[in-house]
Amino acid sequence: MFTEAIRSIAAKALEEKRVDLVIGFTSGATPLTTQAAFIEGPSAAGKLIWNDFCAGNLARHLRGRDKKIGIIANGCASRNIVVYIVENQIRREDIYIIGVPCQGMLDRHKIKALSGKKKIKDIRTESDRVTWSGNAFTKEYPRRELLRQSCLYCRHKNPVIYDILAGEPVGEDKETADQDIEVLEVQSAEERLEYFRTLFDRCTLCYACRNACPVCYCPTCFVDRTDPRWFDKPPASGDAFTFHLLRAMHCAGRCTDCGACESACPVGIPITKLTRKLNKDIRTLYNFEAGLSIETPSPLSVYDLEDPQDFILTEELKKKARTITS
Amino acid sequence: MRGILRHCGVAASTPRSSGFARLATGAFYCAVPKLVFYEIIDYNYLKYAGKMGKKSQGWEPKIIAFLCNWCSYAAADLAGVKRLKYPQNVRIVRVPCTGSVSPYFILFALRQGADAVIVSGCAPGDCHYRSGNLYARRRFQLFKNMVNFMGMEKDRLHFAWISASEAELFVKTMQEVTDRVRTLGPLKHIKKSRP
Repeated sequence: MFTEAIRSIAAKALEEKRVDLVIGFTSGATPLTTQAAFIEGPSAAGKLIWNDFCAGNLARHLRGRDKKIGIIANGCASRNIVVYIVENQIRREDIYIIGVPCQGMLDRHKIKALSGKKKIKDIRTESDRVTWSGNAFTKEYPRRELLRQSCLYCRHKNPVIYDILAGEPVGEDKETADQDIEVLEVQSAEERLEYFRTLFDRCTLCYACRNACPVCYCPTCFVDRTDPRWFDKPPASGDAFTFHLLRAMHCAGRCTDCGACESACPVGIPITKLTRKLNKDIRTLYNFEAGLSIETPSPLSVYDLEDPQDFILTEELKKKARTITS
Repeated sequence: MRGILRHCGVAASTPRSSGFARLATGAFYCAVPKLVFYEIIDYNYLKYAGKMGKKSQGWEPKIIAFLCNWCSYAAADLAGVKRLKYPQNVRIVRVPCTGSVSPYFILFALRQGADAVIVSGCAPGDCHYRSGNLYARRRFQLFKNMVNFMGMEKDRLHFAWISASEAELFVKTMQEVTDRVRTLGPLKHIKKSRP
């Protein structure tokens, strides 16, 4: 789609010495995967690609470099760059953002599940249809049905900050609701518990989600701490539950719902269900979305005296006492 | 953060140390006799030693209360001075401020055997550190929503504002929490099961 534009922009930026390094995507070892590419010379810019599987978040490679960096950023990656700037991890002037309007990425787990155990050799997208084939089979599906959950409910497809745009901005649906979260919310607590328990039973605590996440950059993650030791090795029952809950809490107000964690998961757990619920709460309670403005601080690092506090037990007791007396 | 943990005896429970050593370190770090947090962590010790009082017949909820030093802990103190009776199920951990209570502490307590956790501190505007409880309020609102979303009953986790003079409110709140947890029964699904 934008591959040619990205290549020429990257090559030009490297030639003009505007940047020392361009971070982009290149094709992975197998179909349905991509990996990060670090391009240092204009001749290598031909390696860069842009396809339907650029699901990782390149922003996570930005920290701790003393070079001037060019980065290919779609909507969510650009929001993560904003989060880094807000958190003083990088400086805006050190980054040259090559913005890419994003149509959403495809979920490799969905495609693999649809093809059974058959090996996929080739995959193509033509307008709204995706066709993939392997040994003696061909499948075709509407593109929308294969989108990742995060992309399906994406509200910011175009980069929020950029220096140059590789294509025309695409239409955005700002009212997109997290319907899958709403479905879960109306269920009973037991149903939800059962749902999450079956999900996290599959988790092997490989921490691929943490490693893929751009906002998970603590020098020592809480799961790796030895004093105090929050997690024992080997994992005990309930560890997966605790890990995913605490990781989601760490991302509160910083997660841009890029879905890199979910795409990195080797067993295909829909981890973004948790972060999306948090994002939804933050949007309704504190009217905040992460990574939209360099000026706005994270919602958990500020407060408002008038914040909702219906959940406080003593407030509930006082309210009850008041209704009894009146 | 480590200091707080030391204080409430969490760091004292290295999983592979012997029962007696753990009791010793626990007692060392919990200078105030009221801080019996190590009791639930060292339930193995309790099982073997059997000297710490026999377990009562039937199930009794264990509730960990993280109380802020300046308001709620003082309210608990005042309840004692006033000879007000509150449920024995509540084990108190004193913390500097509710703003210093991380979701880790809460989950850690639940996983080590607590059936419910209550975090209580100064009311908005009264914080000794001016704004700790206001940051905590946002964090706990989200945390409580998250925990409920993941299927834990909403009465397992409570937050309260109790100021230093409100001993009666403290007693009433603890009574309420204990009653609610008693109807829920023991917490099972995230409790750590050690072989």
